[in-house]
Amino acid sequence: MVIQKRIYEITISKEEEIKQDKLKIILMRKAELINEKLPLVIVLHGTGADKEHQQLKPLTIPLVQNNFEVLTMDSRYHGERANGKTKEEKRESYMQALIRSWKYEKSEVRQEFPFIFDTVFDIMRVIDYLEQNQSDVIDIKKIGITGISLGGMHSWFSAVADPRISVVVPLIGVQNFQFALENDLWKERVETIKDVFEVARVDLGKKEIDKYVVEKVWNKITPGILNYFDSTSSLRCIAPRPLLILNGEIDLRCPKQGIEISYSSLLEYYNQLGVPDHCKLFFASNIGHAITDEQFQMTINWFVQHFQKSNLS
Amino acid sequence: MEEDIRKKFRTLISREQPPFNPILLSNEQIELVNFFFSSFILTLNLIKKTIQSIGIVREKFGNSKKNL
Repeated sequence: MVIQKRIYEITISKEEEIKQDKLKIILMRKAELINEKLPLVIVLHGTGADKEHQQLKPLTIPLVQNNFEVLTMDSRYHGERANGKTKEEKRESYMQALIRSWKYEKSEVRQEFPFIFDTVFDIMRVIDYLEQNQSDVIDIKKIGITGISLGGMHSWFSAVADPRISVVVPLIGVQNFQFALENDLWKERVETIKDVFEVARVDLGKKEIDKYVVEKVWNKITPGILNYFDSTSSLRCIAPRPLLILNGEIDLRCPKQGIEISYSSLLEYYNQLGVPDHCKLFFASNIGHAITDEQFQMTINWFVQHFQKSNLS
Repeated sequence: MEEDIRKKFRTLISREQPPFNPILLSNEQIELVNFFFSSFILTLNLIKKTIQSIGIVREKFGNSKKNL
């Protein structure tokens, strides 16, 4: 299979600081379908990875093989959008952005939200760009989104914010932040961006990172994530669009019990809307924060199945 | 409810916010600022006049001291 690859640079907002106001998107499709109007799937990477990372290949290649246009891009402070050349420097650039967000004071111009929220805004702007510039080769009414870990969270929240996204598959990203906090199950999640929690611990005069510190940090760098934007409330915004949630049974970053609570009310809502088959949750048994081949295949199948229907809009 | 959450979320993440947060003052606060400003100007004028007066006094009596 020969893949045609196009790269475009998009200006997100003129008000953004120098490093974050532009991003590159990569569009991939079968070379033989160069002039066809195709459905699109946005595929998003996890923490520390980037738009060309190997972790995306089990999704991007099969999707292209199944006649989709595939889009990848860097999240905020990842890949080309991070300062520095080495992996460590890029990680540090992300951590510093998170710390700036924690230390933000209201007298400053505006607060950055490098964890999840700012990238969701970027994804919305990318869809604006596609609508305006690629609608002859991309079916704008058939935009799907998926992502791994942090990319799974980006998929979830992008679908909440943007109704133009019609099919959604977050991989090991959906979680119940409030449940984790209340049940002392937040440690593994905090570990992924520990630097900001460590700075907050010192600022708050605590000997160790505890529930109080975690709550303060979430409320500051991702306002609302412990209540109205948490999975119990916000996933409902995706209904009635097809949503497949894939997680690991023993993933401590996304504790199973919390997700099940959110899912039970979500499924009830899909039932009320008359489309219970549009909502599915699957845990890979005995798997932590990882994705099985079966789950990759389920993701591809979900997009193929739902984009073959004509009534999506 | 879902639309309300979506709206809230989109407002929060929107980057099209005004670049500066305007400082809003109540009428009482504005009056207070005006009062302090006027007092400051009055004080300045008083100092100016005092310095001028000292100058006049020196001019009149400074030389006469030498003559004494």
